[in-house]
Amino acid sequence: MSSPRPARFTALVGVATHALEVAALGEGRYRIAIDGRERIVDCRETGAGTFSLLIDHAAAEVSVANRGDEFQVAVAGRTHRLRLLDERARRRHQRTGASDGARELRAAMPGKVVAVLVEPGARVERGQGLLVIEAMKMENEIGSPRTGTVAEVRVRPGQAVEAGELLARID
Amino acid sequence: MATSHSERPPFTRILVANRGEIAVRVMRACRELGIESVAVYSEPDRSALHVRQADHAYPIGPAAAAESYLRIDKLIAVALESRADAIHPGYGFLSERAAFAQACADAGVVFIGPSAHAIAAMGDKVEARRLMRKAGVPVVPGSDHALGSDGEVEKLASAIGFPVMLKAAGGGGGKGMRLVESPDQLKSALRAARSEARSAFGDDRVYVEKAIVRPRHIEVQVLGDTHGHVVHLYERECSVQRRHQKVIEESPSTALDEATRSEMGRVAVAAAKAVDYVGAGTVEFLVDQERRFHFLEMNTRIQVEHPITEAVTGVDLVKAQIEIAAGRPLGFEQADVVQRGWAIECRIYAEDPENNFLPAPGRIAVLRVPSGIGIRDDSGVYEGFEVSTHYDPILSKLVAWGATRDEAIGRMLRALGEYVIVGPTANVAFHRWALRHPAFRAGDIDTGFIARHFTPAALAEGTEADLPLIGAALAAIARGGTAVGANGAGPPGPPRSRWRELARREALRE
Repeated sequence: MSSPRPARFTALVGVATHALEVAALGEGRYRIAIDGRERIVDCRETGAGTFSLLIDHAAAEVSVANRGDEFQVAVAGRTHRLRLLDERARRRHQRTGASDGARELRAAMPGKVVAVLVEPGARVERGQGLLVIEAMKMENEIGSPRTGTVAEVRVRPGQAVEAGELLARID
Repeated sequence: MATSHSERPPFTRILVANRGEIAVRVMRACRELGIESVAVYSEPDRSALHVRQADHAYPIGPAAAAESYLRIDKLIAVALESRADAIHPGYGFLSERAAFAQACADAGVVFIGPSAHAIAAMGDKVEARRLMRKAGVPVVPGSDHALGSDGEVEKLASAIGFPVMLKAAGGGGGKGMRLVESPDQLKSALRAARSEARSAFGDDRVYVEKAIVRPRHIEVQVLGDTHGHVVHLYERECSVQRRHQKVIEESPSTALDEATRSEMGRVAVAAAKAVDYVGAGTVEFLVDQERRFHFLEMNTRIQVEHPITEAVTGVDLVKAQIEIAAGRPLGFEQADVVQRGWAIECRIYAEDPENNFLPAPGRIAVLRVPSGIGIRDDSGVYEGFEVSTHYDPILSKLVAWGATRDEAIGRMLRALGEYVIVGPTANVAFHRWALRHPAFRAGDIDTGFIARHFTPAALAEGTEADLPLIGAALAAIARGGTAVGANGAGPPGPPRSRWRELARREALRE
């Protein structure tokens, strides 16, 4: 009852990449190799999206939700975000070219622009505040997705923005 | 103030003019008292928890609060149509609008809260300072009246001496508030404070106070009845704040000795009596490093953090509000109120501590709520609920009680470890960080605690790095590969069918 052909994934966690191989051993057990390090995991899905794991008798629980290849995994109160690509998706990802962050800054949710903190042409560091947007009754500073130069700012203070709307481009 | 079973319920039907966890909290009190509850809901809130919890529910308009939860005319119309005899405003929304209290009175519906007069007196922050000083309540040195011109502000600021605090005259809650360290910062801070105050309160007048260095925010809960009795229910320490918003609260406070504690209680009662206060209210103080306390403002409503007072005093504050509004006497004296043990509250928000605390709404895919000894979770959400972008990002309030502070902290850490929220990103890990921090453990906190100590990197400590990867991979396999790699066009390729194969084999393993 063992699988000769493991499933392979590439996990993208922030800027790091990990190679995963998962082989089902039967009876809820899996051999999981992360960058070549093998671990035997005893797994039971104890609820929708929740998995009880025993790894060398150490007990852990993880809860998982995903939209496409974007995964959210809650472990001990912390939400981890990662992308999990199969081999085809990985090739596609390589072709489009992974950069150190998106060039386009888009609104994560509807809100109102309170302040614009940078001018086109400014040098910005990854994470540096570009805009302040009010949403859910709170003012939030929106950081740059990458280090680069502000190519354009598409919004003005006072302007309402929709989720997904382009706010700025960083080259 | 325990209602005996033989007693008639204080009201027949209460309209709860709010949403989320506080609406649910009020409805629970109603049910315990044998009162029917009436929910109101905006369009996206049709499936919200407070509608599910209520006995009756009425739509009041679109998502925007200004067109639904803030519409006095619609709320009064629903109260009359549903034949509610009282309205509970919760916190936020209309809870501190004198006009709403007045509209209720005019419609013959009891407003569960203080009089319109008391709300107005405390809502005007400058007028409140004047009243408090007259009542012998210590206030922070500063202006006696709202300052219209920038020149006036500059003159007064240099007279009191920097650093100073600019505050909105029209309302509190951190809006329009700016710390000004030196004269050269004054002009830009003034511009920002005025613009924020104008958009929040429709009033750009500000006033100036001496800034207290490394203040602790400590507030006192009071209850006043319609028979002239006012008692306090001791303090809540709310110094763990982010941008003037409370995040963690505890009762008692580690900062107070018995003498200061009882003096603050006495002063809070005097403050309430100065405006003939009726109902539950909170007198907020700033406490400096020398343990001198200064009146900050009075909140004329139930507070978010009221459960920690309930935990240490055993008084159900929401029920007390309802019974007081019905004209019943408090039924206990100051000497009957004792602090027992220690309680801590962590506000569970849909926000991402690793991404500048950005609100992170979304559908709750997985929700597991902690329980067990000493734990209370006042929630406004459920698994499958869509947390909307239109309202406050609060999901729930987790409260831990222990015989000692250490026990309460240990319990809270245990409960936070049990809390699972997937979908929206929640700040659970942030709370674990804060409660483990040596400064918090030592009670060495002030309103700058988070700004001074927190870095997102601190959250990464102690997490098993492999677990998220293992979890994601196993979930992908359990879902038969339908999710992974499915965002591209074209027919499913070999890797996907291989996952299906793995999943099938798994399914057949028995």
